[in-house]
Order: sequence, then structure tokens, then C-alpha cells
Amino acid sequence: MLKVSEISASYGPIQALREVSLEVGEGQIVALLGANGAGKSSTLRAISGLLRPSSGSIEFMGEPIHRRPAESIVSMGISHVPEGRELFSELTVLENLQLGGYSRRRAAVRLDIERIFGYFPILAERRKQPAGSLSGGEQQMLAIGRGLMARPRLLLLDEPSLGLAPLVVREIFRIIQTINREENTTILLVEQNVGLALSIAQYGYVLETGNIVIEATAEELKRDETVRRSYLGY
Amino acid sequence: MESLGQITTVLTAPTAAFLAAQPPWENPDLFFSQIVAGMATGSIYGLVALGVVLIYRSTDVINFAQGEMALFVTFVGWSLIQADVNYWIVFVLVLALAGAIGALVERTVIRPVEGGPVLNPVIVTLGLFVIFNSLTAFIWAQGQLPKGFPATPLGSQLEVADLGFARITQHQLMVLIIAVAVMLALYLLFNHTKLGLAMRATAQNPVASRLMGINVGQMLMLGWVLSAMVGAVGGILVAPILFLDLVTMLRVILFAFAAAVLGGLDSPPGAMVGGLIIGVVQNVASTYSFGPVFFGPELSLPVALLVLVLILLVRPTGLFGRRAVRRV
Amino acid sequence: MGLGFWQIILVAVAVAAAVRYLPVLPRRWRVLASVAVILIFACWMPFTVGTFKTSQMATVATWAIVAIGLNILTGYNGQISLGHGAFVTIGAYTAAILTDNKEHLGFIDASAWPFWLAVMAAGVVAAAAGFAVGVPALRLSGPYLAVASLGLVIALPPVLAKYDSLTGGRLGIRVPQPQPPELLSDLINRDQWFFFLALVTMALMAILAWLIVRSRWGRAFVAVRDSEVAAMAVGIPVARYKVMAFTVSAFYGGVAGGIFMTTIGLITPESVSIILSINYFTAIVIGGLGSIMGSIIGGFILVFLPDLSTDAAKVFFGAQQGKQLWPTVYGAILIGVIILMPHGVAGFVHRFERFRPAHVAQAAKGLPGAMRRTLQRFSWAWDIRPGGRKGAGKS
Repeated sequence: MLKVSEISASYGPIQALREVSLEVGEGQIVALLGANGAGKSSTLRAISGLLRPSSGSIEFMGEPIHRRPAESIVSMGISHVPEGRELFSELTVLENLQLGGYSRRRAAVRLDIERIFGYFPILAERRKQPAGSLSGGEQQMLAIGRGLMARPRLLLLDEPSLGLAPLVVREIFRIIQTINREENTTILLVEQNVGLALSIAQYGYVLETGNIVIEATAEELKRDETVRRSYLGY
Repeated sequence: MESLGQITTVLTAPTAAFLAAQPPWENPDLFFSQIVAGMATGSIYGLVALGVVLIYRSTDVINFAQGEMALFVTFVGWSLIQADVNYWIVFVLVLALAGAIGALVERTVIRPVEGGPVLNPVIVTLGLFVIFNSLTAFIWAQGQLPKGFPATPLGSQLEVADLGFARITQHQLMVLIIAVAVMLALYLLFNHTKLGLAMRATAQNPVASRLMGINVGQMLMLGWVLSAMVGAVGGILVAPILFLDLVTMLRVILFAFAAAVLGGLDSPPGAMVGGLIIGVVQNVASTYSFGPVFFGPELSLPVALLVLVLILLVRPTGLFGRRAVRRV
Repeated sequence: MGLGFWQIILVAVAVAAAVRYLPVLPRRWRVLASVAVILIFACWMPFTVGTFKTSQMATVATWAIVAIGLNILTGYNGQISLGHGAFVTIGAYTAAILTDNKEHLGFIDASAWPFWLAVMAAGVVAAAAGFAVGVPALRLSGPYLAVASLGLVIALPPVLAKYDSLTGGRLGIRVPQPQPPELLSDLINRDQWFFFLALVTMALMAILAWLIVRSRWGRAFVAVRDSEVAAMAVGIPVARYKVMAFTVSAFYGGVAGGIFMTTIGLITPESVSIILSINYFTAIVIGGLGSIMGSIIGGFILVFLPDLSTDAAKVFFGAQQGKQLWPTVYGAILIGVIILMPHGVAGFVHRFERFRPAHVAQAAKGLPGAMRRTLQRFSWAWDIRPGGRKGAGKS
């Protein structure tokens, strides 16, 4: 479904990605792992169009997307929930969700909002509150909900567990799995919490300073010596 | 600035003859009239201030050329009026031209400096100030200045509208009505349309907006279009009062900046409130004496600015401004 | 009369650049040598160009002082002031009151103070005003500070005009102007003398600024500009340094005001217009923020850009229209320069200094063989700053 081939990208003089390649199959949950600064977020930004790769290509459902501006990639079916959530903090929960559905028609959006409230009931309670007043966990739920409003085929999740309490994180990951199962939404998940990521993913890639160093099924990764020692701590 | 006294006197007409007037309790009619008249003037400041705020909100740029762009299109309106075009058609055409100019300016000279050092857009708008002012001078100053500009057909400059508790000119009443209409239209746009929501989103978080599929560049351009149009309305409404001259908008823009800052640079209602406050303070300070102190019209400018600075010291981001908290 | 004015400037810049960048002198001496070249040309120039150009150059030097001071405030410390003209005016009035032959307020006597003393006093009074402004300015930032400072310079003339017992009201104050000292009075005329006064003062103020910038103060200023919160976390008393920056930059403005007033012999409330005050700011941004060279370029821009724009306008639009359309050209030049050189002229020049053999090689890849080989042969000329692989953090 998504095919990233040898993309390189940099921020000015700093090289973030060096010929990164990965593939995500339909309906899968694929994890993108690595330490801080390894280039995981940059990979997602390259896919969603926020970062222009200097070489290589990205194909989605057979169509090349690496030259398209970010605004047009949403309507192709890719939704990016960015690192740090990037909510519209002064707008209400409802308005954030409405914006998530910006690229779609008005009537469909109203129904979908109810669907999102189904996944995240707490958001329904807070629908008129400004997004900035929500707790960390609620904000993450809102960010994911907003991303889902675009009815994406592929959902890019950047560090959904960041800064959240373990209980909340577990809940969110459970919901992510549900979404993947029920809507058949493909998910590319960037995470520093390797254990959690591998518990729901089928396949995984490990990035180190802009290079993919390991790719394998989740099972193999969990057993791999290097992964266990560097990222899982045992 | 030499004729500042004159300008203030004209703005506080028709009661300007009553300098150092009787205190409010002795002549409440005068007092309320001055207040309402001040609100009318203040609405004009508020409209121009609104233009400044609309741009600042989305791009953190202060458009120093706001007044001169409005001046330019108002002069175009004057030419159309001279050609016997119907007033309301001229109104619409001038607004359309203003919008087009706003879009052009954003696309050609603002876009290139949006990402760089924060002070650069200031230089660009100062350059635009100079360009528009001199183009206006070049095209229209050959003839006689100042030129007269008609008030709306619904309310003349010369006749009085008696509101019962206050008496102001009909034109001043129209100014208030039109200002309210503009505020209402903008409120509906921003809070009840998808486009308005998208513009608000772009102002807050351009990156996230792109991820929603919003074309941020278009939203920014639209902000400039609206801002220019609102400024043009201000120009059209002030021209009958101050007469069209090369320095007409200079007076207005100073008070408009004060109003925008007073209300908070990212708050559209704040701009209008700020304008009203400054308009009223200006009127009252130049008409009344406060005990032994009489500021008079010559000091109305420093007084208004003093009020502004004092309020800013208490509320550093204006009365309704927000962005005070920055994440580190 | 010898060479024309602009030719002299061009030659001066070319020689200074050659001294600065060509590997002739040892590296440590290059900057100083190029400054010396400029100074030599500057001293020679008043004797070869006419009186008018000399007095213009005096104004350049004077406004350069303002620009240096404003650069300390805005370029190094990050506070915007569109109202610096107010400090120039205050300084000018102070010097005028001290050097005219009248009594003021009952305690300032009628005898005239000597020039240097008056100018220093002008600076000190302006600095006090800067302190008075800097304290409330702590509460404001960005556009709010810009507008408030604009309000200051707008509000000053009416106040000056109203309280005329001290300030001479609308008509201002006239002062007797200093003459060149007797020893030199055969060699130089009054305009040349004023130029040298301005030049020497500017040089002294520039050295002072250089010292400040390199000192602990200067580092603190920059730290506050880049992140107040981080500066606070490191223990820098932010408020104190911000007010200090205002005070110091106002001092510069006052000194410049004193000189300005002396060269004209008259100060009125309108002498330093609001447009000029705003232009000080424009000049340092176009010249290059945070750079003494940029401040001097800014001074040139303030004095000469209007004339240059007029000449250019006449070329584009014909003599008649050109005379009226020169502000359009002026504005267009401002916009064009800032778009093409986002860090000002000085910033642009500094970027040139970063040329490396690697950059040249990269650019040369697309060129035909002979050109490429020539460029590579002379790549030693591009090696201007030693050391530092990419990513070493020079930007």
C-alpha cells in the first residue's frame, strides 16, 4: 500500500534521512522504532508532505506522492497525527474534529463526529471546551480522532504515548488496535516505547541516525539480541 | 502634525465650538453627543485597526501600509464618483479593488519574507507605505487637494440625527451602522463557516492546518484580502469627514494602530473596542477640562497615546490579546 | 576636484575588501588594516569632494552613531524601537539649551558650554530618558513595544512645542556653531571641521560598541534576545540588561543628536521627523542587524538612498515624472533589497565570506571543463575562514 524507496532528506545542512526504504501492507500495523533523533518523525513528515525528500520516491496505492504538497495528500487517504499532537488549542474539541474532516463533505462529517465520540466518549463530554484545556491523554485522543475524521486508508501516528501515564497509554493503544481491526485502517506507528509498539504491530523497522538498521516481523524483533539490549533493556 | 488641532476639531464637530465646555452634569446632551460622536470616529479607527489585526493574527505581520492602501483605493473611488458612477456601485468596486490589491501584495512581496527574520516584513510594509503614498500623490495630486468625498446617500454630513439623548450627524450614524454590519459579517464568517474555521485554524497552527488539507497560502492571502477590504471601508467612511488629502489616512492610521494594540493585536473585537475607547477619549479630552488641566486639541494625540501606554503597562498584550504565554 | 564622490567610495571599498580578503597580510591584521584603509579614505575625502557632499558625509557619520546604538538595542538585545528619534531630539535639545546664550529655567545659565561637554551631557540626558523608557518597556515586547515606541516619538513634538519656556516652542532654539580651532582654520573650513568632529565621535562610539559587544554585557544582551527564559535560568538578570540596553542605545542617540544640532545650528520639534525615526530602524535592518558595518551602511542609506532613488526614478520614468515618483522607487528598492538580502547588506557580505572550496566545487560541477579547472585553481582565494567541517555550527 505504501512504498517508501530510498528517500533522503535534510533540514538545511543536517541530514535526517539516508536512503530509507520501507513498505506497509494493507491492513497492517507497522512500527517504526529508534532512539531520539533517529529520523522517525522525519520519515512520517516526508510521507505526509511536510518534508521534501531530496532523492528517492514514495508511492501510495501505486501513485507517487513525494512531490505533492502536504495539503493534497490528505485527500488521497493519508492522515498524519503529528508528534506533540499539534492541536488547535484555542479552538474547541468539536472544531478540531470538524477541521479533521475539512477535506470531506459536510454531511459525512457530522456522522463521523459521532463515530469518533463512540471511540472516545470523554471527548463527547468536552466537546465545547478549548482543546488546550484537556488533559494530556484527552488531547492525544482528540489528535487521533481528528486524524480519523479524514477517513484515512493510512494513519500515521507519531509517538502517541509521549508524555502520557501508562494506564492512559494502554487505553489508547487498545483503541488503536480496535480502529485497525474494525475499519481496516492501515497504521504506521512511530514509537519510542518499543515494547508497546511491538505488542500491537505485525512488522517493524528500526532507524538509527537516518538509516534503517533492522527490519523484521514483530516476533523476530522481540527476540532479536540487539533490539532487546538497546531498546528493551534486557 | 501642525494642523493636528484642526483635524481634531473637525473630528469632534459639530460641537467643537464648545471648547472647555460646561461639565457633563450641566449639559448632559453635549456630553452624550460627544460620547456617541467619539464612538463614530472610534468606529473608523476600529475598522482600520481591524484590518491590521486580521493580518497580524494569521501572519504576525503588522501592515504599516494599511492606511495608504486604503487611501489609494478611496482615491480611485473619488475618480469613479467624479465619473458619475452610483455611490453604492463605487463602494463595491472600491472594496473589490482593495481585495485584489491585498491578494497581490501578499502573494508577491509578503510571501518571500514570511519565513525569514521577523523584522523583514516590517521593512516590506514600510516600503509599501511609501509606494502607495507616492503613487497616490502622483496620480491625483496634480489636481486640487483636498478633494471632497460624499457621505453615503443614506446619511449626510451636514444634517443632524437626533437620537434623543445625543445629537450627531447623520453620517456619523451611518458610520456606526456600517461598522456594526462589518463586525457582524466577519463574526458570521469566522464562526459559522467552514472557510472561517479554516482561517482561524491557519492563524493558530499552520502546520497542523496543512495536515487537514487546508491550503495555508490561500488562507493567508484571504486574510490580506479581507484586511484590505475592511481598511477600504474605513477610508470611504472617513473621507467625507476629513476630506481626501495625501495625509488623510496618516492621522487615522496612528490612532488605528493605537486601537489595535490597545485591544490586543490578535483580537478582532478588541480592535473595535480599542477604537471606540480612543475615539471617545479623544473627544472628551479635547472638549472638557479636568479641573485646572485642559489638554486642548493640540495635546489630544499625546493624551491618547498616554492612555494607550498606561493600559499596555497593565495589560501588556492589550485588553483582549492572548499570546502572552510562550512554550519554552 | 579630482575624482567624483562615488568613485572615491568605490575605490575605498574595493581597497578595503582587497586588504580584508586577499591573502596578502597575515590574518590577524586584516580586519584592522581594512578599517584603517577606510579611515584614511574618510580623512582624505573632505578635501577632494565639494562642501555639500562633505556635510552629507557628516550626516552619515552622525546617523551611523544612532544606528550603532539602535543596533545594540534591536540587533543584539532584540527590542524594537521605532521611536529612537525621540532620544536624538532630546539629546539635541539638551546640547542646544547648554550651548545657547540664554538662560533656562532659572538654573541653566547663559554661558555656552564647550562642544564636547555639551555633546556628552546630551548623551547622558538622553540616556536618562532611555532608562525612563526602558523600565516600562520591560512589560512590552514585539509589535506592542514597536507601537509604544512610535507613540513616544509622535507625542514628543507637541509636548516640546507647548512648553516653550524651556524649549523655545515651535521655533526651537538657535545656537552659535563652533568654528574650527585657530591652528587649523586656514587648512579646513567649517563643513570639513564638522565632518571630522562627527567622524571622530563615530569612531569612538564604534570602538565603545565593539568593546561592549565583546564584553560580558554584550553576551548577556544576545542571550536575552535569543531566549529570555533560558537567560533567566542561567542567572542573567534579564530586566537589568534590557533596561541597560535601552539606556546605552539612548546615550548613542543623544550624542548623535548633540552633533546633529551643532552641524545645523538649530533644533525644532520637527527637526527629527517621525519618518526619520522609523527610518533609523529601517536603515539598520537593511544595513544588517547586529553589525557595526551594517550600521554604517545604514547611515549611508539614510542619507543617500533618497537621492539615488530620485536618479533611478528619472532614468525609469523620465525627468519630470521621476521627480515625483522617487518615493515609489525608494520603497521598491527597500522591498527588493530585503527580499534578496534577508539579513541585510552586511549579512549578505558575511555570507560571501563563507565560500569554501567545497562550495565552489559543487557549483563548478555544472560548468564546462575549462571554467571548472580555472575555478579550482583559484580556490585558495575562496578559503577565507579557516576550519570547521559542515555542521560545526557556524551558522
